[in-house]
Amino acid sequence: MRAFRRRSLLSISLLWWLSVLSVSAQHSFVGQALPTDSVTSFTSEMSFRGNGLSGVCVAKGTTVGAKGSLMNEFGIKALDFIYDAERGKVKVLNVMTFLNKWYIKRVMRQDLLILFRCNEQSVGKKHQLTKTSDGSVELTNKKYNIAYSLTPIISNGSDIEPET
Amino acid sequence: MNMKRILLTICLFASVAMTWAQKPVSAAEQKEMIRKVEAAAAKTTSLKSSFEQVKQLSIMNSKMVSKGEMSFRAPDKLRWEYLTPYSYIFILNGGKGLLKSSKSKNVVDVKQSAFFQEIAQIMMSSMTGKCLSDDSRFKVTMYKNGDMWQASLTPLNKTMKKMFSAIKLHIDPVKNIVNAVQMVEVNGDTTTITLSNTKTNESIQEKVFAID
Repeated sequence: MRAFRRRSLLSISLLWWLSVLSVSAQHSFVGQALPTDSVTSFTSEMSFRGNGLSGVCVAKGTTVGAKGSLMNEFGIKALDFIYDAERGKVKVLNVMTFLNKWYIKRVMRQDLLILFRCNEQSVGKKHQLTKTSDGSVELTNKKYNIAYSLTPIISNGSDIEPET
Repeated sequence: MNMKRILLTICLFASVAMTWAQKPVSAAEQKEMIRKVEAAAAKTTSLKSSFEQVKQLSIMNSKMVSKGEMSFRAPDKLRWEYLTPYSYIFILNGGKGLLKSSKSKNVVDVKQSAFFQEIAQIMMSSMTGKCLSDDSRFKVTMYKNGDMWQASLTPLNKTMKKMFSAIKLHIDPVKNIVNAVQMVEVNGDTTTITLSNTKTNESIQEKVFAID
């Protein structure tokens, strides 16, 4: 089991690293529900065993939670997600081939759920969640030693536009 | 004629017109167009440009717009910098790559990662149009669309195929340089990068490409 876990971790690390332009996760409806149809974006950082990766997360509020995309700065998408706050579930879809492995998706679903809920009280022993005054959120997955940092992008609102 | 029939007729005409507009040029014409782009690329020692990147986010029915500046010096130096809405710098200099965000900085050996190598290659070769003559990586089909040329590149390489179903270059037929690149992801989402204020063969200081 330990060997399997180690192998999984190594695979996660390698795949993340191979997809150098890839992403992490984050949110700022972190701590508060994102109003329906409102869109917000964040820069994200993820570190794993000394390797750091950055990306962008864009999320839109829905009647039951949120949906959005994680991508790198160049726009290459890592995955889409749907967060159902009522059922307490995160679904990941359109996952980039490099990351489309069950063990990676499982870790992502779990970590995204914690980030979306952003409730220190509900975080178990395997995670540590920290909110900062600038609206950033930091999450550490102690089991896999993965650290996420999510910072809201402050813009004039012209960066996200409805599709015509 | 009822309204349904009128609409059907309009749709039919529109689809015929679109099919005609997207008809590839002849093999001889394609060869000549590529030759012109290659000739312009061969004379290009440097490129400097502003860019606007529009990422289509189909799941949210929205698009994200990022803006920045690009500098390229032949044969293998590139600086790609996002200025809004986030700050991010990507530099390629020989065999090294720098990825710098507001919180982290990573220097990577391009040769150590097949994926990174592909990205580096596509970024530089698509900006100059050199990828049009890269038969080993892409199947190229050229189109004429009004006063623009369009090249549709279908990846042949395994790594690229996993990421993109096509890469489309919009080419200025007068200057024979690329002014927009559209990357079509496997899931259908697109990223379109449009270059503006492009200046060629100007001197660019070495420190622009410094990986420190």
